[in-house]
Amino acid sequence: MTDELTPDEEALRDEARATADEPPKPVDGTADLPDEVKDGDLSDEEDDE
Amino acid sequence: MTVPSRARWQPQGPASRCVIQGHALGWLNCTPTSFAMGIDKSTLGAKRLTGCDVRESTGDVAGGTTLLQCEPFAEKAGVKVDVYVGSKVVPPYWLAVQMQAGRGCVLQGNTSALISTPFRSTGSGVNHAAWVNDVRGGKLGEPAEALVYDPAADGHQASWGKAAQGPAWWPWSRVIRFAHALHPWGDDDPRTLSSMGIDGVYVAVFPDTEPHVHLRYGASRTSPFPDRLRVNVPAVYTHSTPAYGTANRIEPRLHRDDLFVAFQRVTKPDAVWFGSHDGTRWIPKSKVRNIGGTQ
Repeated sequence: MTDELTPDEEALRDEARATADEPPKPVDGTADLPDEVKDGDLSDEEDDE
Repeated sequence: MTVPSRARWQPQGPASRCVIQGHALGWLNCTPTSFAMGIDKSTLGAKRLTGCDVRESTGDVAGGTTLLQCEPFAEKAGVKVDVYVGSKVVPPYWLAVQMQAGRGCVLQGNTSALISTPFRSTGSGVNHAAWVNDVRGGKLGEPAEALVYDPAADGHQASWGKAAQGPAWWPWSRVIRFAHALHPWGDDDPRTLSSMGIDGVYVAVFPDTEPHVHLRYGASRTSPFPDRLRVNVPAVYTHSTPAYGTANRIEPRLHRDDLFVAFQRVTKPDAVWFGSHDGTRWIPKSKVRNIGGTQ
């Protein structure tokens, strides 16, 4: 699967690369969030195969 | 023209796909499988590892895994990954800009956001992770769509219907709904990022490895892009600008058969010069031979 970027998308790439080094802004309400979040158990999908 | 590099999609299931110390972990392996696809994309296919390779590196055979557990494996594979979790989750706008700049990410979310969509891959809502390879369309900070590699989207037939199959273009708004549906304290705790009004996402952002160029000094892109060259003289300086002179020589010198990957070229009165991707290093055409191609 390959898709060449259109000229407009190339321009958007350049615009994004010009600002991509800026660090993310802090998000409100996150002080108590855990760092470690495990992905869940999808074993139920096996039963249906 | 730029063509985004793309990973090869990998399924996480069935359970027997990853057995470690007697534990069948396939359906508990979405984050390691997503990391494996991220490493594939970020190395331009040079390192095609499996989700089970990543899982084994964590030493964890109990339940699922986290972004932080998988990140060291990527580093060992030479892929620098920035992980944003807990109090360091990032706003969707910032993530969108990173994606539009050519990066990819492993995004955590919950499949409850996919149940009523063509992208459904599970019977019920569960915390999950997927590789997001690239984005297209839209405007800065708000792409129209993202190419998502859901490792559970293997087309399996289930009592609830048929799972999605392989990579798919999701609306960017759906990507963020998936991320906001994450249950940070696990599936048994009803709180989600969205229900708590938190406009951040848990994500591991991979590097921008697309071949790209910052054209300087009136240069144009090489063809092919990039172009691989080798030194054909005993030793040669590269220069900080496309001009001879002792002041802009860069140490150390390159030696015969050393590789120089050229992204741009420019013709000056004294020589044709090939330049690096950011235009900070140049070498005269007469000192290299073309080995051709991008690989």
